[in-house]
Amino acid sequence: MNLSTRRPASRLATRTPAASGSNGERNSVVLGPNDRLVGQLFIEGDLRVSGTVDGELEATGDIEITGRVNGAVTAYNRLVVGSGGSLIGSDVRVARLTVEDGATLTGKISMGSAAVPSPKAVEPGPVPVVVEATPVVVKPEPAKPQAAKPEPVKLQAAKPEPVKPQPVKQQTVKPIQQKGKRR
Amino acid sequence: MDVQEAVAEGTASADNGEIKRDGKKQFSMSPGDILEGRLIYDGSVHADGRVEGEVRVTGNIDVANGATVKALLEGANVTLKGAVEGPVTARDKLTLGRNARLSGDIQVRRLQIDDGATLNGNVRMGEFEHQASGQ
Repeated sequence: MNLSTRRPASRLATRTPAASGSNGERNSVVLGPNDRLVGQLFIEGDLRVSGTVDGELEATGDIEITGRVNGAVTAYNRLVVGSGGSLIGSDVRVARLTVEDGATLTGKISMGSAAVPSPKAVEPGPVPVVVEATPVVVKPEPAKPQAAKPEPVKLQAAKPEPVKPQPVKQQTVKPIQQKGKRR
Repeated sequence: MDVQEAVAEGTASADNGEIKRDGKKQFSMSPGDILEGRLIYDGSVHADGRVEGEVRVTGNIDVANGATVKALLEGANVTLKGAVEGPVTARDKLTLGRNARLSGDIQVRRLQIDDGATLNGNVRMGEFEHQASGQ
């Protein structure tokens, strides 16, 4: 690449992925040996720096430094400082860190899930929906035993039906005749 | 160097004690050993078990996998494979193995961190060329 003399950082970042598109799966940005970046750079994907960076770097994937970086570095996944790489970072936050023998590393190192923010972990939000459904589940519980009881009741009521009408007719007829005779 | 006196200061219960290897002394600990105090030693130290306090050696320091160290460590080459809490100074090289967990500021001339190691602290490199060459 011959982008070292160009100042705007955004042009460097947007042009390089097209050149390194052979990686396929994840977005990857490469700053070549003659490239230089001054400012801030945020990448959704991997970042490889073999040039010079004066500023802040942040990538959601891996960052590999084989060049020179002066500034804060945040790698949501893994930071690799190669044997010829130099990282003079005031604040280095990474999930995983590999430093090869011969590399230069200076700064405050913070590792682990607590050091690196994980925006993807905040996304799953259907959890509160389940909480709202809990009172609804409580109500149908008493309704189920009620619905189960009437079933045997109907069967019992169906059997006495032929038995009941006979005594009812006899009882109703008798008192009417008796009352009518007395009166 | 008052090595013998310095060793007596520590409450090391290492059974192996000193081992001479190629004419260089090595203070070797086993997994069940406990060292509490201050150890200044003319040789190398293999730390295992539990170490608390301060360890300064002219040779190398090797912290075994499974060891628990809460101490200041200073040596020529320092290799960590266990858990260490405290400042570490390596006049030549500090190596963090894949199972190493270091929480503390480090001052080294060369640094190697294997994938899987954990480091939390400030890192300073350089400034040891004259001391390292003088030994």
